[in-house]
Amino acid sequence: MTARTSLRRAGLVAFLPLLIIGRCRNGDDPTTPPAAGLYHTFSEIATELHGLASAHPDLARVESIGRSVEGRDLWAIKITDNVSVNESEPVVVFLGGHHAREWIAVDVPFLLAKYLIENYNRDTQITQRLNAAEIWIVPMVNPDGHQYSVTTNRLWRKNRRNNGDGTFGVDLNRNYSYQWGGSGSSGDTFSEIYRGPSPFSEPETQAARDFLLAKRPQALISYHNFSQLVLYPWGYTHTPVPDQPRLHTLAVAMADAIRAVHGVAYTPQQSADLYLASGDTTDWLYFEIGVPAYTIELRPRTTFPGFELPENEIAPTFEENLPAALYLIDQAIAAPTMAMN
Amino acid sequence: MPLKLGSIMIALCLMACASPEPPPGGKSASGLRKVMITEADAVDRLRALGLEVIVQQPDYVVVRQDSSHLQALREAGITTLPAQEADLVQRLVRVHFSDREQKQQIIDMGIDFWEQEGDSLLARAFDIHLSRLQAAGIGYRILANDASKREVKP
Repeated sequence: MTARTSLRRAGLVAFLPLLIIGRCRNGDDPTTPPAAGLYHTFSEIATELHGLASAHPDLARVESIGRSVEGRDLWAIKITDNVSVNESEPVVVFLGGHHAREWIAVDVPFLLAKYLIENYNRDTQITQRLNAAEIWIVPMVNPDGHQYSVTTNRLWRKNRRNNGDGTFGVDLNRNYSYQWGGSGSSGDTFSEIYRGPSPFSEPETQAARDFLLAKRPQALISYHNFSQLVLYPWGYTHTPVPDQPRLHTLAVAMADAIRAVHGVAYTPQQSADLYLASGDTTDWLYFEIGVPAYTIELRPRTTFPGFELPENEIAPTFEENLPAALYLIDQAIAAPTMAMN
Repeated sequence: MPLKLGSIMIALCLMACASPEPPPGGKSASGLRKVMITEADAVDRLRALGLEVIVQQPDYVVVRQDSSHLQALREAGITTLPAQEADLVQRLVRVHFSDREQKQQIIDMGIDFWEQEGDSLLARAFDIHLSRLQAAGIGYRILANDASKREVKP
């Protein structure tokens, strides 16, 4: 063996661990990227968001709001005119993919981002909205879980926290701090509604918390599926929020806007009417800053097909949810201080 | 020398990949363990030792073990293995409830709620959940032994 070969071999051995770390962190095999059909995977969402921002640098900017347990970025896209300037405009946030198996809940906010960007200067109303408001979209809050759902277990719900007892995962939508540990969550690590060892124990919810507190949105929608519901706080108790009539009126208007597109009915109701659930995103945001915060449970209505919504329903699900999202943006623009008095 | 260093680094990396950092509160002495069933009364014996049965399959069970069980298991000559994620099979079940409070009681047991249909709900549940339902006198029907296999049609 020559000295050069020996050096090359030693260098390769020293470099190998870095390759292994990279592979394990991402859980992706670069030679055979996981496919989710017409649904977007983590890497596809990242590529698409960066592509949109590159093609529209004055209108869109992508940034990471934090990293997941396994080190994936939680990508957010800011969409507004003068995107590099911090203007004093109402902020509306759309979140997707807290739960891994709910693939449509990633694609709907992603398609919303794409639609807004591609229709600026084409559609007068979209242009006016983006001139007047700052839209932030985080389509995949749980990238590790989503990836695991694509590669290994289609029905995976939680993130990929190693709980240290042979189980994995914390339900991110039970890990927010407001009323953490109450009804509708579980302390059993194996449960699909495991709330985690402490409030905001997970990097994904920490990132969402820090992002939302920094942006202080005037309104928020967190997309989930399934059941076709428009839900508003409280989720942890049957007691109505102080401005329940306003939140209900907005929910009814969004449900009406959804139904007007393809005739599909979404039911507007207080979240607790479905069942009590504590530690979720919308209860926490409403408690923290008192703004309208909605969970929209997308198609389908029933277990069959449940989480596995056929690909040919991606487009109509987005189409019917678009006017509801635009309606909430309009409300934020019309009443830039939507916080409860 | 570089080869040896490289091997150590690879081993460290593989360990890190196989076991992402558990939370600060994680207890190494407790956790889910798999026990292969070789005798008819194996499950009863495990329950008699105070172990909770999370999953019960024809050829194995997954139990929740803590440090207090170690001695008893050793004395009973029962060997446990680390449970793998694939061992954690869930059933697809229809659970009947009488009112809103009982529906919430079911959800608070930790089951994976999917859908409400009148006075019943569809959910994924581990066997420990079914034991809890039975103990509470709540009726249920198993629709599929492995919810992930999509054996059930609407």
